Amino acid sequence: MNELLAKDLRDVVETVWTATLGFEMLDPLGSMAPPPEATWCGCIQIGGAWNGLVKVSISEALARRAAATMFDSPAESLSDADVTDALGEITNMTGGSVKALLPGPSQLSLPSVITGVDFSVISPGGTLIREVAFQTSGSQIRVQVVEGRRLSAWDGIRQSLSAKPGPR
Amino acid sequence: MKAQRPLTEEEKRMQALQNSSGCDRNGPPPPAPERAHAPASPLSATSLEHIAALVPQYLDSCRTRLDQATEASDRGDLTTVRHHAHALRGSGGAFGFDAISEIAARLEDAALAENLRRVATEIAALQRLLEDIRP
Repeated sequence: MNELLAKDLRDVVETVWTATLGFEMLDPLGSMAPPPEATWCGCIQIGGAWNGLVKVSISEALARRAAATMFDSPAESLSDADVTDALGEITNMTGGSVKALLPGPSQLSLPSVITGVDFSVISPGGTLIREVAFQTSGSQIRVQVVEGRRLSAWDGIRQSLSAKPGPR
Repeated sequence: MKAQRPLTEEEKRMQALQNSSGCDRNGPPPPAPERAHAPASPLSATSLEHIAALVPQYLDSCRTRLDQATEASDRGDLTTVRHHAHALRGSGGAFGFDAISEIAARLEDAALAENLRRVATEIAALQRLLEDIRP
């Protein structure tokens, strides 16, 4: 089985957040708007037999709580770098699990962490194939898997030709 | 002005999914994020210590799950074997144990194919692997 089912992605998220981080049970959510607060988004790419991106979006409050749990320190004592590190690790674990459930062999990229208010992370040509959302103590966790399109040699040539100015 | 074609149901669904996300939205260009960077290393020394502390607990959970898969295999319940194999396959990736994921994927395939001999072979391979990485 090399297909990532919604149940698989829910299991991955629950394993990372409850079994590994020790958070209480997560309540699944349907699609709904994220809370109007600063968002922290961890992204990691999978490249190889399957190509795409895994994104983990959480609120700043939850990112700080996760970091506090991970480093066993009070949330207020943690720097932004600590929170970035924690979300990078959570993204790495989530991406690693997703990679293992998709066709291989593939490699994981380094995780990236983006923070801000009302921003977008767009994968050109990518297709959102799975999305799950959970709520824990009033904060949301949203995980998305975007399948990328691998460019063939012909796609590259076509793009190169279309980028050149035509005859007048 | 060129008329836009109506969206298909699938396109509407995917657009709704993307619009609902904190990360992926179509529409006008958003303001630049406040910070965007990759950690210098995937994991810092502190978070590596945290992960390392969880590994023995994780390996114990793998052994328990493999025992349950073995018992299910003994009674011919290959659906349960497949369920455990699938879980091992995913969790192996979370902790960077790609070998666990690879053998678990083969076990899952064998259970799906109802090939008892291959199921036994892959269970034995996982048992050996888990013995080898015992601290």
